[in-house]
Amino acid sequence: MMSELSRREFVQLCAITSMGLVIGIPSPGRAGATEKELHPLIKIGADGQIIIYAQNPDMGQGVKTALPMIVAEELDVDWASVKVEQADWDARLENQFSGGSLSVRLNYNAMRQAGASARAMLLAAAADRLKRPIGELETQHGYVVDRSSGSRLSYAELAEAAGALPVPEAPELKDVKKFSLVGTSIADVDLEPITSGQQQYSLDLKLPDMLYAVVKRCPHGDGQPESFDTTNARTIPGVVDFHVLKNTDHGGRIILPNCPNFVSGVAVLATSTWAAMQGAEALNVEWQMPKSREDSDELMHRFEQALDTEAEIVRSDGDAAFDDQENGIDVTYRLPFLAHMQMEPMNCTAHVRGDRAEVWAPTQNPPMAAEAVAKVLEIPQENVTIHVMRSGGGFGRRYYADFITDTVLLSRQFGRPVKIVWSREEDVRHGYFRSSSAQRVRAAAREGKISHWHQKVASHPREIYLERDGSPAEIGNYEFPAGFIPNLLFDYVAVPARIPLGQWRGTANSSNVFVVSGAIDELAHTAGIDPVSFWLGLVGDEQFVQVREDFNFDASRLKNVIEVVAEKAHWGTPLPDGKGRGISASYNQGIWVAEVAEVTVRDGLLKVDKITCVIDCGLVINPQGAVNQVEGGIVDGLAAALYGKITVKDGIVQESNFHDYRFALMRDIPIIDVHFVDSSDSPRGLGEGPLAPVAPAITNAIFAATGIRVRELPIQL
Amino acid sequence: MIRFTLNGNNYEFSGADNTPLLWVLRDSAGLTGTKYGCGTGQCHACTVHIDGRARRACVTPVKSATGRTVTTIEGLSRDASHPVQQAWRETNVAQCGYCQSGQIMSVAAMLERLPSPSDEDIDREHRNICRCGTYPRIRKAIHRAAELSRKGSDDE
Repeated sequence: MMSELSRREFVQLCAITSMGLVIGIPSPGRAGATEKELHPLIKIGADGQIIIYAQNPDMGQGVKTALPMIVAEELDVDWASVKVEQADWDARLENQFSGGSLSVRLNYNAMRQAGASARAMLLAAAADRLKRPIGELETQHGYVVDRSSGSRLSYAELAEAAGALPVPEAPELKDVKKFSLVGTSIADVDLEPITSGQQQYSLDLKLPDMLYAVVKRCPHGDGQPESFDTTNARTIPGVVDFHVLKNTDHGGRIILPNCPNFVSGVAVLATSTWAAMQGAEALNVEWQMPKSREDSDELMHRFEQALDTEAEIVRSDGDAAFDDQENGIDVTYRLPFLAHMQMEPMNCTAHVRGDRAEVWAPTQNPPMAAEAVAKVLEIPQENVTIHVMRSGGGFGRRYYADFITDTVLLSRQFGRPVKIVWSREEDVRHGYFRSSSAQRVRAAAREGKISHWHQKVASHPREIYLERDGSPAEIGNYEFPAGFIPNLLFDYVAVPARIPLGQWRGTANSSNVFVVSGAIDELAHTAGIDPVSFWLGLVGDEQFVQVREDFNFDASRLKNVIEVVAEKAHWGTPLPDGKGRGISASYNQGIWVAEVAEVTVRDGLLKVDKITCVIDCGLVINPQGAVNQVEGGIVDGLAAALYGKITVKDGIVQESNFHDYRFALMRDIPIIDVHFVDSSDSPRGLGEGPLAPVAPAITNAIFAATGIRVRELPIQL
Repeated sequence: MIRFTLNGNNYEFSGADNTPLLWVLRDSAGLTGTKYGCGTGQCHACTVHIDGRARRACVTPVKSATGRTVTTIEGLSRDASHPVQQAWRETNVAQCGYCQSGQIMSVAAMLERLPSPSDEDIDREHRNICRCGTYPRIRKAIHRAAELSRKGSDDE
């Protein structure tokens, strides 16, 4: 249901080309001599090979498998006969981006329509060939069968004729109850090449005559190179040339609304990656640094001070002020900037020939990549080809085109294919981080229920940094617990700063859920009520709660995941000293999630023993992939809670690699117990939702174990 | 000229002898299954075997491979049939997959030393980062690979 998306989330993620889904347009560039295109996403070979294009980029979240499964289900073909290929950027396709856990959620119907349309065309072609009414025919696993005579025609035999037919506007869709592929566990389509080392990632590309480039970038994202000395760098064997890259000459720091451009620097071009890296190391550059030089600790103080100033009201119900302080809390939560640390460092390969650009990119957002390339090269978008590469992780870092625009400029400059490789250090230093914030909650409970809730957020908002339209408020007027508390105020103070911000896994939700689930737990303990009972009292017994005119919150699904997680986690059973359980719950990124953490704290050392997670995401497309996503989200949430923090001093990011921006290792990983609610409701994405509740489940468990209330991440005991 | 055995064949490298083995494998030998993740020997995505032991190719100068036997993910087995590779497929370990060749190489070497690792052994020995968080499946796949290896050696 689209209305559940915040307007901001939706506008932000859909601010891309939106030509309608055009079915059956012949595409001479794509269909081979023996393959017939029935849809931009479907080709059928004369040999019976079914090719389904994976519409959206895969960075490990499994949509290269899940989206084609939906197409194959409606097309009625055996999965074994399907070959999945990654679609290039295609202006005919809608929602061809991976972000906001939206790939499945936004494309489920389009994928069904694609498969069903092609199936209807094959049926029509068979009816014509067999001179039989369509009603007498049916499809069975890649064949059209005449019910009365039993005669069969394969899709391969029919593809040519079917491709010439008009596209049905409203093809008949399968009854969801009759799905036989969707809902079964299918291995990732790239699993075999991944385990043999053959899977090609963008960083693995090698084109004939290609130059390798490493850009020595200004340590501050807003700075420029002033002068440079190549004396030492030139002595390194393999170093070929140098080139100054200034974003001020090519559209500025932000190239499109919501899309940063490259960070300025000096490129070293070489015949190998190592030569380019060494050349960049040996290069001496004088930088023109900006006057404004941020410090993240000082910025946190500014956020805290801002909590005492007047704020923009995001939502106001009743009167959130209260007098009986003994029943209330007045607490401030603090959240750090977070980096992505995707395993494959940023990189891009491009070949610009005349006014045409061909790009191979590990991008989450092909339409934005195409638009940015066209803009920076001043060429028409139709001259841009974006080959979407499987990404070694993304988590939001690859949503923008900052790593693409400099690559096409270098290729144009040198008239050869160029691959830019980022060192891990450059990757960390020049990230687009999850925003830091301070959040104050003044809330009270009466007779066991929350009566007043004032949540005030101060942060340095993405909207301002990325020059994006819309309210900068990092708390939405639809966010839980809005609608559940009679006297509620959400307000927001923007504190502009020059620290780069971007998408992260759940972005603002990853912060807000920590604050909300933490504060609810605090109120439960203040009221002397068991946290699970307190949560159930807050959620109530009504099925729907009207949160906004266009958003009816299905509270029964939140209540259900809380009840089930309590049961699965054996909530209420006794634990030895030093151990505790904590609960958190949320509706975020379109799914209902409840988690219980079980922790041990001994001698000030925290060990997370177990996380139990119950999710209602509607229909599950690929159960094995879904569990993998949830486990991964939980590990990511755990790692961020334990270790995640980016520090900026004098405008420069201090962390540089995995030693000072740690990620969880095997020894940190608790038992993870995942349960899905059985549902045939429309499917939602799983990439982000399970992450946010992890940190508050852990900190609430720490309180149960020790009486210590943690209100700042990463956790320090 | 640096000479060593690479996946069973003789290999010669004529560039600078302090070049990290990682970039010799990837850019010169064209074996891109070995991944760059950190360049400082922390993430272990670049794990290869040198004389059968797990080594981080990103911090190994190519000269130290002189005369030795280097095995990469491409040479671990024929047809990706090593028990660890089989177990990885059976368990559907991968998400993005980028770190997985390093994971497989580390685990293959670990199982040579510890054929039946306990969970405590795995917690102690396993140092590869998986940023997607496939650790629960890696643990399961390690146990499965140990089981497959035992079966394999029983059959011999």
